[in-house]
Amino acid sequence: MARQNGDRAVVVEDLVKHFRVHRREAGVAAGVKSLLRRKYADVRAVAGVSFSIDRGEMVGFLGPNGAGKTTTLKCLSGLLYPTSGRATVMGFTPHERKTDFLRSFTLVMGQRNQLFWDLPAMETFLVNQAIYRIPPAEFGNTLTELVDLLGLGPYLDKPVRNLSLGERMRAELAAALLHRPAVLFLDEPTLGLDVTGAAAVRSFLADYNVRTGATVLLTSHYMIDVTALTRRVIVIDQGQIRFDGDLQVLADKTAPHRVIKVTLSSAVARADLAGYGEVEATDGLTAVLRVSRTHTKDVAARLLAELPVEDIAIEDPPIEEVIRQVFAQE
Amino acid sequence: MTFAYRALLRAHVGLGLAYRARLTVWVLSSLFPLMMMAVWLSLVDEVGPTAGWRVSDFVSYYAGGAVLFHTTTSFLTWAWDADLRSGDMSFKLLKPIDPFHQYLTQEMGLRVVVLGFLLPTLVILTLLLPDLTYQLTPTGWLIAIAAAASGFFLNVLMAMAFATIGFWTTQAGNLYSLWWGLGAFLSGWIAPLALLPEVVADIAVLMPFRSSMGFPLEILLNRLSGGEIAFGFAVTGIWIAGFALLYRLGWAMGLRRYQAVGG
Repeated sequence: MARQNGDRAVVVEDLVKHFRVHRREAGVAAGVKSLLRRKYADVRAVAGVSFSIDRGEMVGFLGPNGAGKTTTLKCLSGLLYPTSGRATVMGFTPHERKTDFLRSFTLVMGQRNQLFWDLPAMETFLVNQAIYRIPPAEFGNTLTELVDLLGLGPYLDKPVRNLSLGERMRAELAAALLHRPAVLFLDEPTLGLDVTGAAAVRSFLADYNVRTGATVLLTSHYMIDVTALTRRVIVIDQGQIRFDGDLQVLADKTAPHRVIKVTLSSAVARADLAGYGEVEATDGLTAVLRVSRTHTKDVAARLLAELPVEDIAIEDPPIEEVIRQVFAQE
Repeated sequence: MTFAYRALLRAHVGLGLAYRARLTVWVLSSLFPLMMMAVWLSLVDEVGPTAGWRVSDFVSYYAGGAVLFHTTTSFLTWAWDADLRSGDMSFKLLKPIDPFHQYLTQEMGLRVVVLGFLLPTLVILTLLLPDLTYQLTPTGWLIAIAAAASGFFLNVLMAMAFATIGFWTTQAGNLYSLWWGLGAFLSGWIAPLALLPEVVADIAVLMPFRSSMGFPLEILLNRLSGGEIAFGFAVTGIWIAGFALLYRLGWAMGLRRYQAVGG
């Protein structure tokens, strides 16, 4: 059944954003030359992007640096005025910047900071309470919940500049979610975090989505964020969408092979292993083989029957590799 | 809006208090008008009252000027310029409150902090120095405060109207510096307008710069008639309307060009 616009939190139709950028070579002479004669170039950051996201859906937005991810998010947040095309978020046109629209979403930029740098994070929370007009009871409940889930308790009265990156990122998330936005645009929300910090943020986001039914569009260069949080991914490169669909479909389509990892009870030569598939790595007692998806079962059966196998595991190739291949094919 | 203003003001007062060294430097920079005062005092000492201005007039004028400089001057153009270049403007744009109010409360918060230090100092000095005196009725004080407040608001609007040039060029701060340099002379900060050549003084009373310095100071020194005070407020009001219009136009047109750099 065709989806109605009312079911959709985000609708993007043929969105285009070009920037005019000043260009100059390095060096003093080039600097003087550029003073007299400016050179500009048009950068096509987003070149006709279309997609939609249902309410409550979590979508991964993938692409190499400069692909157009952040520019798209900024257009959807009303920060950038699109060159052409159309976008709506919760029924609002972002660049019109209506107050109700600004209350309906949040944009978290992992490498940026909205907190008052020289004040404890609590000051930013109180300012956000006033700006977003959050009733005191609701503010108290939400804050308690966020402080608890993000483990912010010990940091609330420390100036933000004295927090570690992980602590700051958690405080940043709390500030961004106090008004319980219906749509979350997350641009590298785990950037620079350690393993524990990143896991805490991922777990929190998954939980937030389940509890509030929020729509999430997430960009991340850490594939673990994408695989843990989203099933659907949109892959963008050079300002255009290359894939929009299930992550597994992307993996099947892009990497028509799987990985078999075997542990052997006695050493087997690389030449003997080569008869089963492409040998990615081996030290004689363990081996990693790449085999085509269609032959995975047969190869696994042969390995078990013909070699001294102690343990065997069949895995999909790492999603990083899949994405690398998607971009390599372009 | 009241809640938002209160919360933003509280935060910006907190930011103003965050660095003691910065605060000290600000307060010390009040010494500039006092240096100008020393020049005039040495002149009075040598040749007697200048254009009817005695020692007590100069002392009261420049002491008040030191407080007014810190409470009415706006540096928003540079702050805005920095926000545009760094991309920090994006965070202001993401909030459901116009960035105008966020910048205005930023300016107000800092002024509250500075006033908290300068006003008690001024009161103590008026008690210690017989030449430092303001012979005003309570109504006169209220009018002077209203003049200073409207002058502050005009300065903020003027700085923000210039700041919108930042959507087109990175030179908004430098352009404002040029404008501000002209203003320093025509505002009465460097010398009381009454001591400038008549033609310059006539131009100065029509310009926006006097509103935040010479105008409230002349009220403080009881040197203006009722009609002149009304005229001063009218000039301030007209410039406020003009710069408000320019700001809204610059904002509406410039926002389409915003590039949200950084991140």
